[in-house]
Amino acid sequence: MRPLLGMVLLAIVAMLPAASIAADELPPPAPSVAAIKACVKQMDIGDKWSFTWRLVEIGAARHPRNSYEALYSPAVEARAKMYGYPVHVMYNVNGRADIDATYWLIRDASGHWQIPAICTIR
Amino acid sequence: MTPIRGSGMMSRIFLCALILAGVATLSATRATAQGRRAGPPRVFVPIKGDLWRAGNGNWWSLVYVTPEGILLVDPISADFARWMKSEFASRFPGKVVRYIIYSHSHWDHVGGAAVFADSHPHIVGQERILKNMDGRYPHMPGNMIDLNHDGSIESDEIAIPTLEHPGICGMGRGYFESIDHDHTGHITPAQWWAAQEVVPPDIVYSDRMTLVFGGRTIQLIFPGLNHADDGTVVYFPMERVVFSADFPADALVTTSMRSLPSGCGMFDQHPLSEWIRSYKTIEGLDFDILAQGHGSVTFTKADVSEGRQYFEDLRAGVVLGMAQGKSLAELKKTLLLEKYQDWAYYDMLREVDIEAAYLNLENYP
Repeated sequence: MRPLLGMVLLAIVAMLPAASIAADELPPPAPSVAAIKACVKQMDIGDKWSFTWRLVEIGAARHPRNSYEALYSPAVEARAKMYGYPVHVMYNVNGRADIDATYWLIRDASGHWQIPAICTIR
Repeated sequence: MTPIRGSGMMSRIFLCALILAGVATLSATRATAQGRRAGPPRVFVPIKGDLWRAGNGNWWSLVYVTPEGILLVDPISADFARWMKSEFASRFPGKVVRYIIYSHSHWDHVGGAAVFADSHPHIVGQERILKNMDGRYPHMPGNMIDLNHDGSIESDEIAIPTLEHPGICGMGRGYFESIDHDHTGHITPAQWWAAQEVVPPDIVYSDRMTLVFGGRTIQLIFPGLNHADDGTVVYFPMERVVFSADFPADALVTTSMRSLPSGCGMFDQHPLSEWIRSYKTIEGLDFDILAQGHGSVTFTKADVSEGRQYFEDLRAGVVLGMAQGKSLAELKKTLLLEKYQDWAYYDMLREVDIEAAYLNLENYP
């Protein structure tokens, strides 16, 4: 688990100054669909997978719906209340899996959009 | 094409790590400033008598110190095992690890046994652990399965569950690559185990085993299929203490067992009836304290009963809905499980659990 935890720690360290981003603040416009697709593809570190996209639907900006979304901002109260965008995605990976999921799009301390556990748009 | 429709657990590991990392970061930052190690907090906590818990963040081992040496349940990781070994030397001079018991075969609990090789401990576990560690694709948490049935672990097999349920199933970005040093995109199960410094057991049992060590009696009990297919509940009758890991308390549990379980892989590809049987097995033991592989506190039998009741209510609700001809989508809207709305992760996992139970009952009616 240490490699993963190390990555997570780095991510959290990067998020710590997030108090500068005000809670309950409406976010700037969401990134483009193309940027979101490219973000998800970051999971393909070896650049060997195929993605067949069917839907990327960005919802209205809203408050984190539940503790799950808020948990992506641990130890930073302001971020736990920060607005983000739900993104409904439908796509196939490698012909093996049909993904139908709603991701939570929020900003890190530097203002970069990220889909926690998956990717950051830089 | 294989739709991955299951939901909920290994990236509970990720999510839990995330939670703890947030808490740990501040203290770790301070520790680094003082020249100490960074990383999750490590603690040594007494339970009762000669029983201790050793914690690595929200991952916990159990330590039993006897006149003949130490019995350890779950080394967790090589790095943590090295820390524990050092702690043992200073806290219990002259005592070495003679037995290691595996709570189940998942690598985030059994990693690091090789660290204790110099004292030649017996390693004990439920017999299915041998199959899981014999080179075949093992039972994995978090819906990580052999999608193409080729026997090797591939990068997308680890990532796809994450993409479907980020923070809940699968593992986070880069975990596979941290093991795949040759960048082939394929890892054999043997490589997977070797990377975690896992040693297979040399003593196994089927249903129950009594171990007498250091004048003490320790009972090992296979509870049934649940999060793992090779779990052991370790029972210390003299102290009236029970230990198990990932079941009933999974990686999201910290201070309360009132926490909805994730349903990765339609509850880890094991029938709901087996989960319920597993709860009942623990409930049938005569104990006061339930120590878990996750959770900063200990629990009681009442906590186990509540968890079993949740599964029974979930199963009953889904069975009724299916009998009424409701679709999965309808069930997600109508089966509110209000009794559990104050439990952790209710908003996040209620629908996930309903879907997992629905698919589970389709597959294991």
